[in-house]
Amino acid sequence: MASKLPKQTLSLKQFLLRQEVLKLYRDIIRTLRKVPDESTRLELKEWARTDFRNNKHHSDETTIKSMLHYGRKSLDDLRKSLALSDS
Amino acid sequence: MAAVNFVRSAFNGLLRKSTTYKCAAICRLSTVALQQKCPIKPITNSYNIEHTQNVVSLRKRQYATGPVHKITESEIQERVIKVCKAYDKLVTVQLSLDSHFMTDLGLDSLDHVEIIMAMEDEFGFEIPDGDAERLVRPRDIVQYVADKEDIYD
Repeated sequence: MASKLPKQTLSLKQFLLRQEVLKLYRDIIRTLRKVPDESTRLELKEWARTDFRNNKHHSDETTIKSMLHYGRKSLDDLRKSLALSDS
Repeated sequence: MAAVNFVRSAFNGLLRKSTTYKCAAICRLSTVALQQKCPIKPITNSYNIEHTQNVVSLRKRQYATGPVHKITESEIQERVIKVCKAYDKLVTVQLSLDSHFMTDLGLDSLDHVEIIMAMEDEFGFEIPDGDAERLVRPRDIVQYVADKEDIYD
């Protein structure tokens, strides 16, 4: 993940990637709110949190993109399983 | 038979102004009772007990309104600080309304996202991404919530 220090300016690509990552994180938290079971919700939240934090140091664009892809896929899986449990 | 009619009409008509009690909850019972010249008390006791207990004043007209309690700015400030302190990285840190999340409190953008989401949960409305980016101090958040709730005219 590109540096977040305000002193260092990011290129447009890095900036856009960063915004994507933050948006993904936000969407994950929003979706997690709908999980009915309290302990599962906390567990998933912690899992997402540690995953994001462990990978935040990446600066290589390809790595970041593949992490984004993995994150989006996980979010889709979560949404599908939520839809299943609702019906 | 009359009692059954009372109950039936009472259940059918709701929230019409009563002429005697001036209480919306009594509804059609009183008008029906007036026509039939029978006492209301026993009927209300059986049917409307919870409603009568919730009536603020028997003389007062009741209208449907929005929430009576208007939130004040100091309450917003308290709640914002409370949510910030509840965040695990900020538990031991001394926190003021003007402390910047990233430069003063040493949080990163992921923490910032989490805090803004916690504020959404606290105040019950969604904050879009574009607005969330600009909220970098607790004071900004207080201002934003106040604007949303129309505290200032």
